[in-house]
Amino acid sequence: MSKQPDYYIILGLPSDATTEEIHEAARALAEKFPRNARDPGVNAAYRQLLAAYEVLGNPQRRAAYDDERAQQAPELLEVTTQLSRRKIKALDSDQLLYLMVTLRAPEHREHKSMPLNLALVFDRSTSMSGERLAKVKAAARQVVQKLSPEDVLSVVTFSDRAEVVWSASPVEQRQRIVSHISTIHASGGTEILQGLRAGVRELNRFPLDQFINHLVLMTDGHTYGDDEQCLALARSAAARGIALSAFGIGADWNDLFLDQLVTPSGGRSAYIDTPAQIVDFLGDQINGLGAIYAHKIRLSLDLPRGLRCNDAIKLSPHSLPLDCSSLPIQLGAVEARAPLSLLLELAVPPLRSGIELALPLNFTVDIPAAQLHERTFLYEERVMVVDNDTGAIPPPAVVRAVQMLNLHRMNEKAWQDFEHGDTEKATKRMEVLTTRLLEAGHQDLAEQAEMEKQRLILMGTLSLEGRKRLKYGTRSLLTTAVNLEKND
Amino acid sequence: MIKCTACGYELLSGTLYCEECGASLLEDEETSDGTLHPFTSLSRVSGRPVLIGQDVNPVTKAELITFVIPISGRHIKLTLDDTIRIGRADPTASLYPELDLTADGGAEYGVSRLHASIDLSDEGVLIVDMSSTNGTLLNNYRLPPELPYPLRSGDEIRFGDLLVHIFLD
Repeated sequence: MSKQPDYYIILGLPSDATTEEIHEAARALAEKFPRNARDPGVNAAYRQLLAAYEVLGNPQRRAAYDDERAQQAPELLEVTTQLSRRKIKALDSDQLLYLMVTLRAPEHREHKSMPLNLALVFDRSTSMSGERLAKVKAAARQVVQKLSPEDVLSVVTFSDRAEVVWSASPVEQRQRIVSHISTIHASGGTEILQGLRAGVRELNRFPLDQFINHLVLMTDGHTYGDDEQCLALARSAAARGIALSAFGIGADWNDLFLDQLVTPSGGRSAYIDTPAQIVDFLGDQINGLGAIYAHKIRLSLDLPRGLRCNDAIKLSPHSLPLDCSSLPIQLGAVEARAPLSLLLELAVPPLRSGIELALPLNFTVDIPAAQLHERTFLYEERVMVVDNDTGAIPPPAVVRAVQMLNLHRMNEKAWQDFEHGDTEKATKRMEVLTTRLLEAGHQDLAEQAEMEKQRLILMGTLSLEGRKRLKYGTRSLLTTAVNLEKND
Repeated sequence: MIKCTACGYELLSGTLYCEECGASLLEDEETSDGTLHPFTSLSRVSGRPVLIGQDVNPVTKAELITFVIPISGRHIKLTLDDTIRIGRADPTASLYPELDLTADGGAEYGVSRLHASIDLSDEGVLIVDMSSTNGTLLNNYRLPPELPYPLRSGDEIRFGDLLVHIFLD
């Protein structure tokens, strides 16, 4: 585990040192660095020294730092990091480094969280009629029972336009809400924007800063022409503290779109294979929301020069690709019992040996139970560049997560090849994927991959259902990689 | 850049799994001294090896067996017309196994004097762990002692901690 470096410890001074002592200590320490090592861009130790001096040497900034230091004393967020390698070899070419980060609620802390402000937004288009809508209603009834009277609930349905079935209000008259839900019937098209707008409007009826605000979207179809507006709405809602989760039922919906919809708030997007699973999925989601310890978590990476974040993926509590091209990365929430973990794939440029790389991780977090709003937690991980490979084995949890990420990517590539018209390559990839899934012990997914391969060979097509099953199936393997760790 | 040992695809150093074929690149990096061994993941077969009597095609036609020992770089070809014992020579007991792993660091890798045996029978080429101290792993599966398991070309065997690849011709 790495914690925020303590500036006083860096300078080797007590926290009541005088300003003169601080100047003196910083100068003495700086002189210990050889001239060519005094490059804060690459030398982490030197950079830290500068940072410590810049803060403590300035009485105003020092006072602010002292305040923060005093407040942070009890641990509010457990952050653990694991690197694929702590020492990397000096090379002339780029190399990859994996960093797995896990955020947990401290065990001793009470999780008295904020009440929920929840909007359920259901697709009631014609295709939802029958079992799908029946299960959605059952799921909604279950949600009503799970919520407590302090929580606020609204229920919105949409087809070509939106209807507010139950306007946002505290969950006091459960029976009335349930009877309103039972009036929902299916007809019309799918215009997601209408539903989202009405849902956000309902959430806005209550002061957002006093609730955990969440919109749950359930749909089984494509929205037409309003994708961009939906995404813009999701972004602006996220900025105001409204998180979004999206569930796709059946095979005929746009998975990329739903992923993009939840990315700005770090919510969850999931595939619901059969209507029977709807109740479980929604129930699980509400349990998670009710157990939120910290939320609106953002990670900003201040990577040393030349280092890039290639890819980032959330592993748990639910797997989701993250967007590391725009910082900060939105991570969503930490639930009381479920840690939030993510995997970063970093590309390291050619480096000389002897350099120590600092990988600063800055989290901005809201912790309702501790009345913390936008509190920043600073952590740092370090990597040494050395001459010789140390041959150290990466931690098993990292290896497993990377293995699963790779399976997920192999699947995505097969579909990309297919979309680009390269059936032959897609077939080959499906075949390799089948083998690797079998090896990893995932019989069901291997069978699905084998079926898609057969489809490609015999008919030159792939199935929509297979697309969803394999995409979300391989993605959820990432979560199993983390859960295994707990049993080790 | 490194090359995937299974499919030859070019990958960045530090890659843990080949993005093209999904092979693990870890074992190779651990045991290598910079040069990658071409055989190490060729035979990576996971899961439990089949017991004899199960529904597989036994290799009954083989005449020659080649042992490739990555750690020492030795290649040893032996004929399969008689039992091949694997272990470490012990002159005081007049024990001279057909495959003597003394020169490959057998003692420090935990190879027993009489570790295992390989035979050609009607049921294929069979390996038996002869109740060795540190056990025998066939494709990462620990063999129960004194039970025959069929071998296939490309299998990976660990006698104690000593890795050996076998090829049948």
